[in-house]
Amino acid sequence: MSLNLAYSVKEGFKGLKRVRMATFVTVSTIAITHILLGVFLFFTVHVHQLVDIMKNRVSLEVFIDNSLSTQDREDLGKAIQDLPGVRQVTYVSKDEALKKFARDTGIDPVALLGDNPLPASYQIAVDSDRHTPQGIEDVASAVQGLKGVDDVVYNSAFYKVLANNMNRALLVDGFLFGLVILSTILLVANTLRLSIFAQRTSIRIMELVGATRGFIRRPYLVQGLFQGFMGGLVGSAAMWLCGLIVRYYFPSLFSMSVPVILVPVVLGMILGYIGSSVALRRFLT
Amino acid sequence: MRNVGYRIDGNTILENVDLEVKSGEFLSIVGPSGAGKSTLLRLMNMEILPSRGVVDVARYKSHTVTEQDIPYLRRKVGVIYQDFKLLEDRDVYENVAFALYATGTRRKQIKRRVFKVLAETGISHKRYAAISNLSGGEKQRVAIARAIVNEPFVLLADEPTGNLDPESTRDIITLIKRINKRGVAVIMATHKMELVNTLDGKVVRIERGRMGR
Repeated sequence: MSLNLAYSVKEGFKGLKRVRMATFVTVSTIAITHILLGVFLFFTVHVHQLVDIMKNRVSLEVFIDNSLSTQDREDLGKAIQDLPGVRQVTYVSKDEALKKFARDTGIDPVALLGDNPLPASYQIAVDSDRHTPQGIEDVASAVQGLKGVDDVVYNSAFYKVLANNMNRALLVDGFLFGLVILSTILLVANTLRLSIFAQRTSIRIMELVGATRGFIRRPYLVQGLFQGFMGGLVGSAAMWLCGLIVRYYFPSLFSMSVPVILVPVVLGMILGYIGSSVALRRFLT
Repeated sequence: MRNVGYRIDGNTILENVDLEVKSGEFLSIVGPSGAGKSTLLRLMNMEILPSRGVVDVARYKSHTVTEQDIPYLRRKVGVIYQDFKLLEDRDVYENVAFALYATGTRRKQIKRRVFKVLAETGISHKRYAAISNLSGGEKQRVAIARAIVNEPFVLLADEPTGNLDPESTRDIITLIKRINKRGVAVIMATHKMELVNTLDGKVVRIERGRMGR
């Protein structure tokens, strides 16, 4: 390490001690903005997960003609599987349908009617690129045209509502997330600017005694990097702690991995460096 | 300085200034407040550039100097101010050493040179004192130490005794004279005529931005 660089790093850390209050405020601001960002990231990931779960539940129920032989039924299953837009086909026998009905409703049709009135069916999961009302309708029409299909049932109105609201939810979420990111950048940049503003007289004096811009800048950039690192670290620790608490009460919610937890640290350092750099440009004449 | 003029926001601060200072000279610039003395010194240090004419400090000329040249020029031009312009959050040693760190001087040399210059300016005993604990005279000694530590060829002094009591004023002037005797040119701006009368060397008067002798 060259003498000048070693001096810059040492001076950077000394400078943090010289302006303790400004350092505390900057680190706290970065930490708080990162916590907010983390909470929103958590929320956004869940919105996306929820949308995916809902979309994956998009399925069609195909009732099969009772008179079909086992071979014809299997051929029908293969024919459905070969249709464009079909992701998965699952056979539900009459007995399975009866069990499911009894489980869902608490009513045993055999006890009432003396016979199982429920038909066998195929449950069709649709490809994700067909998760639109029109896409589902196209798959349903294609299935309806196959021999041995008695009826195709799906809730078209529900899928229309789902598609519209999911898009709206993602749009609102994206907008709010952009707003949070913008606020984070502006808030951190402004805090760093104030921190450097407090040291403007020193910067001016350094210029007057013959220090180059680079020499003056380096300790402040070290400060910005360190403040960003500390703020990000505190933010990460808080997010990790929140994650533990949330998982304790809601175990099904996702947990954040170590790389995700460390994102604020890296982001903090980048913001700290760029924020200080931009602020210095204003005060270096 | 040749035919130098300086205007800002439509106001003329300096006009038709011609001035030459040779190595080892002592020049006093006298004039009332607002006459343009500080502006003249700021032009010499290239804190500002003239609106007209040329300022030539060693090999640096105001019309060809680049932003990158200016720090190197300032290392050869020592400046002291009425308000000292010290780094208040550092001690005496750090203030003087800063000027050497900025030039990339080796640490061992820095220590030796700082101690030497502090001894020369009579402030060695307070080398690790905080700036806020120093008197005005002591602060000016630190400022002088910082200004001469890079061995400049000229020392610019802008009202160096403006904030000092008579005894400190005498001490600081004696110190400046001693530096001048070593061959460093001194250009001192002051409004105190009685102070100039105690000095040898050239005296120029400046009033409303115009120079007379």
